[in-house]
Amino acid sequence: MRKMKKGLALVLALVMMVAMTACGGGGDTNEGDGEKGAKTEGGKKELLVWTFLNPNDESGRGYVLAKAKELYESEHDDVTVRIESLEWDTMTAKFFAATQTGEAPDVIWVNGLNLGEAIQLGVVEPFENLFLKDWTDEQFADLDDVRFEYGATDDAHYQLHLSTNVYGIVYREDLFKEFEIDPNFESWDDLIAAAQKLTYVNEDGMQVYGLGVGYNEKSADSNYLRAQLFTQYGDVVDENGQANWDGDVGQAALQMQIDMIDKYKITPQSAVSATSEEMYADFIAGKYAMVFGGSVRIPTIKSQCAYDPDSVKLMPYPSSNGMDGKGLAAGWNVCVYSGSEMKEEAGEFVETLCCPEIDKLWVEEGGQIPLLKSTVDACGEFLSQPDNEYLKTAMEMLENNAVAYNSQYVISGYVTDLVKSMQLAYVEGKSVEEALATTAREFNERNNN
Amino acid sequence: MKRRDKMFPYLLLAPSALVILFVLIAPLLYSVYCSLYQCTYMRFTKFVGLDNFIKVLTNMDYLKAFGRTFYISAVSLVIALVLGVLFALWINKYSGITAYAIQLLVLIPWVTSQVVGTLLWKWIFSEDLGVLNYLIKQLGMAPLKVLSDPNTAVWVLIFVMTWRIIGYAMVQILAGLKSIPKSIEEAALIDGAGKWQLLRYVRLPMIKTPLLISTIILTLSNINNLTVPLSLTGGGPGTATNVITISIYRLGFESYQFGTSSALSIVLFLVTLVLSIGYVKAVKYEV
Amino acid sequence: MRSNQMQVSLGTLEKWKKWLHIYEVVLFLFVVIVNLAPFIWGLLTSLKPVREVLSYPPKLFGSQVSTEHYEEVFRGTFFTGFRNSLIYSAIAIAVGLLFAMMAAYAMSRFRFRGKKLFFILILSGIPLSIGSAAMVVPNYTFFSSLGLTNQWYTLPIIYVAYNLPMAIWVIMGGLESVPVQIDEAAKIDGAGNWRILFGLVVPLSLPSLASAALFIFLGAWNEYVVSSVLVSSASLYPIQVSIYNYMGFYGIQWGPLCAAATTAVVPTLAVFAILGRMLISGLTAGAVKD
Repeated sequence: MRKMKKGLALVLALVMMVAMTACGGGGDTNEGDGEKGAKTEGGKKELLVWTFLNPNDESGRGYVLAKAKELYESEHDDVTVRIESLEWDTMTAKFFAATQTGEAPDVIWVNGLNLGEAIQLGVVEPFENLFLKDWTDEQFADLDDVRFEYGATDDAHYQLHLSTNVYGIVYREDLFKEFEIDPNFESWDDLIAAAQKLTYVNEDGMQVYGLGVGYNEKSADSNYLRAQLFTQYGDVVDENGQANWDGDVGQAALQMQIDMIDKYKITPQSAVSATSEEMYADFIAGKYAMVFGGSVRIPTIKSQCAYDPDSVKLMPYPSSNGMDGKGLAAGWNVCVYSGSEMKEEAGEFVETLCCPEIDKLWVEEGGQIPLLKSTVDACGEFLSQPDNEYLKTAMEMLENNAVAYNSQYVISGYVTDLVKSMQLAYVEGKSVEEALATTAREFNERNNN
Repeated sequence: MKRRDKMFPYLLLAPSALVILFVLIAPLLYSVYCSLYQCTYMRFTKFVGLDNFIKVLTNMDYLKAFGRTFYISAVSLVIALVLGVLFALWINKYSGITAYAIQLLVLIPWVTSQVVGTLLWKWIFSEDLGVLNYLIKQLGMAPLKVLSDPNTAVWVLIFVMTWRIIGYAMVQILAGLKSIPKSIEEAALIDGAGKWQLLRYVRLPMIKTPLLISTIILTLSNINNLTVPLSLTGGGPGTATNVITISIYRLGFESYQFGTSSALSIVLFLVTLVLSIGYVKAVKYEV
Repeated sequence: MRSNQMQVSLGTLEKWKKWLHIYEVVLFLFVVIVNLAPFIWGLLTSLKPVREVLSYPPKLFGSQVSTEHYEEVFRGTFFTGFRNSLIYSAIAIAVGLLFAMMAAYAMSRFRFRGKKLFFILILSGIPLSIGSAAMVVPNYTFFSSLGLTNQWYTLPIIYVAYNLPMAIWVIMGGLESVPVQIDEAAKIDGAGNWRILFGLVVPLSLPSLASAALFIFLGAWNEYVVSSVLVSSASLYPIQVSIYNYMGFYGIQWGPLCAAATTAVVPTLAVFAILGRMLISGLTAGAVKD
């Protein structure tokens, strides 16, 4: 054993040396990488873009990105755009790490949740320093809305909001018709009453539930608690950046989530282990009449369901306490890396992504909500087709029933915290108050606001 | 001996040593370095010494996660070993193509992608729409709460983890059985040993080594498994299946706390290193 | 009288055997079904038309056999991943076998200072490479700080390193059955060290080399966690990451996902069916040592 210890110590010492030399060598490589921004390939500079979209796959969104690259390169003879497609769930973490190691891209899709961190870390460049300084007021007004203002101050806009996802209730109009239910709910009570009617066993012997949701911590999304926070507070943190869900609103909402399973029986108990992915899959299979869902998922649902695809509809959350129901408008924030050596070019690429020509494609090929108000008219015909009605609904919701995150504070992990409260209260048997207080404390400690 | 001859073994070892040092050991040391700092989003803001270690080792949630990890790994291991021995004894009677086919079939879960296997299991176990509960309903029984009940969820996780490793245990043990000289078994039978006695006094002692090797390799494999728990249960419901690798993953890639995440990784590595040393001792490998 | 009794008992034994046989067939089928259930379900799903994939009640077969998911998979980027993984695995096998053979030969044939040290190095490599969870973050930060992420050689290096400890272990086991006398005789005849290794020992170690190659192949082909973090260009993705393409931000597409997963299993099964015997003997190298 003693010999072994000695051996281990030697291994460790040796490895330290190797690691140190390697790190030294790393410094050199990084210097070499300093040229990266200006790296020339046949005299061309290379603009590196990190996104989760894939310009080579079959999706409409990938196609639009490829078109934007084409258009940009035709306008910039001296630049080639290199698009790297990363996995969406770890991409932002890798970007933050990469800003430290000199491997960061020039243009990056930042997850909606992490824009606050990105701004605080100073790794994203205000567009005012780039293309916005040359824009006319009309151009600016055409783009400006709740999404573009996300994270912005009076003189700094940091991101272009793509893949906008407006949250509400995704429902099946065919079942509503069958049960003669009017989808214009006045309140959550109406919705719950409807969900109770819609909880039944269908002709295939399948137990259908009125309202679906997923509480798995691995991948959670919207739920009643979050809907209440956005409706009543417009945010998930208070003015000091502290979690706001441990108050009365949160407690009532969490109790309601439990009641939805145990008392009203409109949500199955299996929701505690379902990820949001499984919830959507179950909705496609016909298990739910309504789910807490986002607009971007509707095309996927329509393309896979066995029932009439045109019956898949979206509605805003009902109002609570006289306040209009509000859901999150989340999406991906296209930003320019502040350490990039090609900031101007990167800014121009962002500009290309929101030019009228490409925006029209985002709508018609990518199934996205228009970025520019002028695109609504340009795509009038497309948007009036019944298949695309959900886009119109989402646009209306964006105007009347949506909030964006407040990027002043770091909020990473709050989605997990919210569902963890449910896990603690429903599965672990903690009281509603205790469950919410626990996760709020964890959130506050972690994010240090 | 010539100088060149003396250098020869070092030349032979150099490439492997470099690769292992560089890819496996150096990142480990790098994470030791990370673990001594407050390191959020890869920014080393403050040297904190052993604070991160103290933080994770005094946090009940992580200690419980370690406990859960050991419990789940151990139960899965015991089941895999017992069934491995039974299957090996069964297959040992055959030779040729039958034995070969069975071995291959049982080994398939070990050698294919864990992500896909796990997701498909999850689909089969899906409570309202899965095949399992559908079949149960067809038989006129009440459907099972598979993954939404904390107690059954643990067992489902154990089941999938065991499913993955059982083939490895079986093949190891089978090789051990095959290496027992026929004469010894025959002698025991002539001496009037029954089937049970043959197993207890002849076979089991002779397969001690493969059993130990399986024990350690599979323990390491179970303890370090992130893919299966993350894809199958995501740690839930509640904290029922929240194993330590999930905590490490969440700290690093959801909360971006690389300092604490590294500290936890190192604790996990030390545990596995102790087990590896056990491995060497167990096989008494002479160098 | 006595022989009569014997006949009776033999008869019962026959019956017993017959019964045992049925029981064993049932057991065999059970093992097959439980073991392969997810793969069978995945295969069946991949052949259903898109609107029947998630339909309820679950059916084994769709209304028709549909190859639409396979067509989609092969038109998309999955094929790039498939090709990349073949290349990565080939590089990893070639480099890994060379390094592992050399190291194993040194370890089993020579006495030298620091041998124990190297042995510990291999051993500590085993837990580090077996479960990659603990190493995801360190690997990413370390490789990233050296600028070694997202290169064509990134994943081959990782695959070689992850499988090297086990490969050395397996080949060391194999070398035990290659008589030392052969080396010694050649040495007396004046053959050089390298010639003895590559001209004499390597040809005699082919079985263990083959099983080490299989290990490396399986490890390289199935690794997911670290690959997904270290590489960010779609053109460099290995197969397991390409499969994830069908579980993106816009939702899981079960049909293409199952088609991609089924396709990804095929090379594993093929290699396995052809060389599985060697794998089993490689897996157990060292295990029978007492």
